[in-house]
Amino acid sequence: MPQPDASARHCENHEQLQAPISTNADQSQLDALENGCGIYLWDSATIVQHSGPDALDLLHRLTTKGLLSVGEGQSRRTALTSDRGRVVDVFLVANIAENQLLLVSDSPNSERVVSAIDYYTIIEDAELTDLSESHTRISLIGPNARRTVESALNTALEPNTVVQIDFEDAPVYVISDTSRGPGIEWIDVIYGTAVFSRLVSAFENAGGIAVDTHNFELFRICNAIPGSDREYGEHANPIEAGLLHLIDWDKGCYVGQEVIARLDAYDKVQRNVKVLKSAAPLEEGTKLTSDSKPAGVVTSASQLKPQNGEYLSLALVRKAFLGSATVLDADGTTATVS
Amino acid sequence: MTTMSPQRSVPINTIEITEKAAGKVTKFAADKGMEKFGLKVAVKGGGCSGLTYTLDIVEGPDADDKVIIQHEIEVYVPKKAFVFLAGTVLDFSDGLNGKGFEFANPNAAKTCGCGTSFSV
Repeated sequence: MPQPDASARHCENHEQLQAPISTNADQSQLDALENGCGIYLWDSATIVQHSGPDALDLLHRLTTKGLLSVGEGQSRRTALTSDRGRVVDVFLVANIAENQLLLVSDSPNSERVVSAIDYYTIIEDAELTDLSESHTRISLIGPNARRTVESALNTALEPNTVVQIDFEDAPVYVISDTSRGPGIEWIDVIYGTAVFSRLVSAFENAGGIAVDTHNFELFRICNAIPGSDREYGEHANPIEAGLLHLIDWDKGCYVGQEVIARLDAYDKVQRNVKVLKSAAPLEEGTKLTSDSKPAGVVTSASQLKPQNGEYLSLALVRKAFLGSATVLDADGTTATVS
Repeated sequence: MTTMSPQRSVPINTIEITEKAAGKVTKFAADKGMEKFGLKVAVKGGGCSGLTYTLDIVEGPDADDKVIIQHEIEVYVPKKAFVFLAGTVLDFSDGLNGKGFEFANPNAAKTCGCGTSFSV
């Protein structure tokens, strides 16, 4: 994969794309994400090239999803867990060419997944190259996302596939990801920073609407999409973090499999991700209680006021309090489990 | 292949293969019709605990393999795998309750239920 000049970096790009922030949710941005195509530029994300004849087999042995059937031109999202069954990272595996994979995660800390995979690379013929500084990631989200990409880049894109396109002589990787939630169309675009503004213009001209971080977060929270180092991370196992759909139960061993299988088999999962509604915004990290009993912790909190006036948050809620309409206390603010 | 508790200490600059394990390797090599052979002992990523033992009968060592000779068997260990295996005893357990090749690895802090993988 060519290494473009990294001089034009993410922050500059972000300023160009970000819409003005207000305390009220921007209905046009939310509409784009829910009913059209929102364009979200990641300020930082993990983008890693994993190359070599053993790369795919190694990831198959290490992570929760069966990957051996991910052929050239296909993609699949998987989770890397520790031997204690905690989430190290969640990433898309895109098979871009023979013995060439692209790993894309939401985490701004690329070192985490690189060092974890590198630790387990012992006799394997596989090499990791961190492209996070030289490449940028845009996500196109919404029911029109695929149509927007196909129109802007003049290419066809099937679900869970990756295509490489030459955009103004620069390679652009377009990856379809159907794992974000039922009915959520999500497409990641990975490219060298140099073509940033013209690429975004092409998507906007095809009907996409730029979305800022606050409205993207509100959409994520509203749809209970787990976030990196929020709902999942070293503090949570993949089942409680809302990543159950990324576990293949019949694939055989992977790192942490024994612990995760035991949690499931003996019904030992103690909490789950839930959407909370409140009349005032909550703070991340706030402990939840019910009659002074610990009930969970707020993991993501939107500060934007939605049209209906209810602030939305995500929380890891203990098993006893998962029922819809359960009322919890968040440091003096009443929060209702949705 | 399973992991067992180390029962005796082995110098940390080598790994040890018991006479019984060496005999089994020789038999397997003979069954495959190999006259010149060695036992490749390595570790790869994977398994519940993260690191899995691998055993293979091969014709000779790779360039970066450490070569250890015991009981007239050449044992080849890739240098990157040796850090996880130093001080290990490789034994063979047969009979009705036998588990085949067994590793007693002093570096293993935790092993999975079936004993094929470990973490350090």
